[in-house]
Amino acid sequence: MASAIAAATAPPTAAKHSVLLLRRANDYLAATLRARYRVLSFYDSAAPLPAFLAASAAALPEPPRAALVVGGGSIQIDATFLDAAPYLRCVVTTAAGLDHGDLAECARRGVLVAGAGEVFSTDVADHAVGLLIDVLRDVSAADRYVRRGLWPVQGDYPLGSKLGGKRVGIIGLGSIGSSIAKRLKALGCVIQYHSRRPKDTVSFKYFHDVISLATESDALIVACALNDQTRHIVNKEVLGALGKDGVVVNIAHGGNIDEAELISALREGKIAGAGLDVFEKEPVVPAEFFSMDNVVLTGHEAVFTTESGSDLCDLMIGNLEAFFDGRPLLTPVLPK
Amino acid sequence: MDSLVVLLLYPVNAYLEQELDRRFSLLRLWEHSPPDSLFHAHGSTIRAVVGYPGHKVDAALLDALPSLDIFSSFSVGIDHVDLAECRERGIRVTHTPGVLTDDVADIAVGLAVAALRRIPQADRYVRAGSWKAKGDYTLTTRVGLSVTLSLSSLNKSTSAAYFSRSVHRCPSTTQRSAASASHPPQPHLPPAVLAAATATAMESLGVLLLHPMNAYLEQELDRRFRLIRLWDSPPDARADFLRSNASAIRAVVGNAGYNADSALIDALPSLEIVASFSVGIDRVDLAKCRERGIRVTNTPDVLTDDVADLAVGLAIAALRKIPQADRYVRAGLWKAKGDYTLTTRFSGKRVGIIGLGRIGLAVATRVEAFDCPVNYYQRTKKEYPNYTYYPSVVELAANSDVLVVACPLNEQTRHIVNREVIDALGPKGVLINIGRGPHVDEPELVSALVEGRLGGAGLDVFEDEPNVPEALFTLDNVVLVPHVGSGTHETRQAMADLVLGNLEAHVLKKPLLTPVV
Repeated sequence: MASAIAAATAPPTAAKHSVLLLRRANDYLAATLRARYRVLSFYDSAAPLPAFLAASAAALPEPPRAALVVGGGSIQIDATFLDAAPYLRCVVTTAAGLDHGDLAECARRGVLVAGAGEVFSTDVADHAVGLLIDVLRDVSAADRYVRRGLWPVQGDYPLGSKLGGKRVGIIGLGSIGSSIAKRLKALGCVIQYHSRRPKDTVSFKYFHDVISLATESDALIVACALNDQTRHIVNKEVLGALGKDGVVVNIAHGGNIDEAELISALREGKIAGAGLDVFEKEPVVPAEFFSMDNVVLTGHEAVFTTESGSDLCDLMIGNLEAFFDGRPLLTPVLPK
Repeated sequence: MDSLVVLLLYPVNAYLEQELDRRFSLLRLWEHSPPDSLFHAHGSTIRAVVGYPGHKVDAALLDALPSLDIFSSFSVGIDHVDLAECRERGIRVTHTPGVLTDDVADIAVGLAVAALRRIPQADRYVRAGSWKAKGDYTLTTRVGLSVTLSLSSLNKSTSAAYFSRSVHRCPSTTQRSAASASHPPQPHLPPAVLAAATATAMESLGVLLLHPMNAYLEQELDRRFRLIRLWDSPPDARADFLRSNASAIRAVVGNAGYNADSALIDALPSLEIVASFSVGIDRVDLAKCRERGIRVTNTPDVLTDDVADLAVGLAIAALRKIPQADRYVRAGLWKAKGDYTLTTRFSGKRVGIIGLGRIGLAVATRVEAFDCPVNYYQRTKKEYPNYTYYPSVVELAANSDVLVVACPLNEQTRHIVNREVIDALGPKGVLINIGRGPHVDEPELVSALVEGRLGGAGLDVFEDEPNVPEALFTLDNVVLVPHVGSGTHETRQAMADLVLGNLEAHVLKKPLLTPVV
């Protein structure tokens, strides 16, 4: 589908706009971009970033006015970066969002920012539900048990915990949190949430702070952005309030949870288990987790399906097109 | 007198037999084998029969005795006699009222006292040396209680006997008028006496537990009934074990893996009820149970949610490769080799369900929240506005991305997922089996997965549990769990309570909670 759009509206070669590619691209993305734009790819050049940005100023026919980045990735779209690339007027991020500080900098300079919108919500929500079922029903642990040949030797696997009736506290009820809520409701869970402000459009119970949410929840799912207010939003106190039968699932950012406290809480049996797709120092995952049977670990892959890859590609092209056409961005991100 | 030929049906009393022999011309039924030979030889001369409650007097017996004038029962109850037939043939019927009234009344009071004061149990306690070893027996409950009776059900002399004894034991006795129509015409005992009598009845139910399937269930069976554990006997001594316990065993508790099959039922002549700790009862010989009048119960509904949740969990795990990703991370490969592979989205996948029963419907409503179109196959098409019916499993598989087995196992559904179905599901398709191992042709499934002809699978059940084909252990496109569909604390407790409830209902002659047969 994306290639059809690309083919239908690709401009003639001479009129192609220049675009900075500041992220690794798979073949599909690279091919789709090259069909429509003159791509200046950082990861294909040998230069360090400042030199690359300086050289791009001299690109023909014009310097790149738009850049594709990974929000929250290794290249920060901060003041230093924007100073080194003053020709940029639009940043299209292919992750969930930019750091709050970076957004403010862009806004100050009139640089438009396009985000990934809700392109990832479905897959992240599915992954969150998969992790929660896995933690409560021991899917991965039981799979290990069978593969190790233990079923005939040690007998039936120990009992898990029923999902139905569990009170699930969602931290952050944006597009992802709402998608998770919809799915878990169909599995008989009681949904409640914390976010900066209560949402009029939902009937779920709202909690002003995370500790009260944790106190009254059997499971916590972290689905919020990462900023100064939400760094370590799940901390020692919250884990204590969640309690020894509680589980936590994180498909947001490693920084949302105090990882060291999480490890101690799990070690000491202060909570019952965790499902984690994100970690504080990816791709480093603390070895302490590896010996825990009540933890499920995946490598920041909640978004990585072929479908979201192609959905994202469509969206990025759509945003770039809108920008170069002078139309409003499809998924603009404004500082909050 | 010696011309009266009397047939005695059973050696019920030595004095009776001796006097019948002395005064009349006595024939003894049990001396003739087969009984028909007696009827052939003497049928037309027999003018009187003396019987007892254990031998039915029906048209068949009366046909064999064309000269019969009188039937005398050595009992007061004559429910074993077809009175209508006797009337029609002009045969007189007598019984023995009055003379036994005192004894029966005495026993009733005796039983009530024995039950409330746990006398037989205390006797066993002393004989076992427990008084010395463990100290005093438990406290029991006072007998001094009112006993109310509905007089309409009892003839006057009997009720008077109960009444007089009650007055002596229990000062506060009341009589209920026979005219009170709202009360059932039965002897009505107050709760404590009823509880004691009930407890005694419960404790006498011998229950054979086939496997240590659940600690709570086992503990409660032991507490409420007379529990016999099949695994107390070594496997090679099983036949003898069953033989020596056969007369006591009136109930069997089995589960998905171990249940009352033909051989076991044959070995248990006193079996009255099979209460399965499962919803699937493919391992119970239902035909044999029906034949022998054995009741069968299972545990539907309480486990529906858990099994449906697992189906969804397995589907997501299989499509998104969660256990595989977990292995990848634990092996340090995320750091060493980079991101794990791309997988495929679960939401929006076409889900095909074989069998839209309780579990199938629960799966359907769950996947609808993931915007999955729902297709189904079952023997009869029903009106589901949102679900698409396919008239065969192959067509269902051809039009689905995820195929879920959710039907009961029987002769028609064995290997319902065969090579043809697997091929139709295809290299991108995923099979989820939360039914029974034999629903799927396992060798075909294994080769399809190994060869990549089938995209993936999430399996909770296998043809020969707990043995899982080892060829699956190294595959990355399959998720394997050891029959944990209903394996949560909450659900197993609810299942156990259902088993216990069915057994209690059986003892109390109340309607069974969840009967299958």
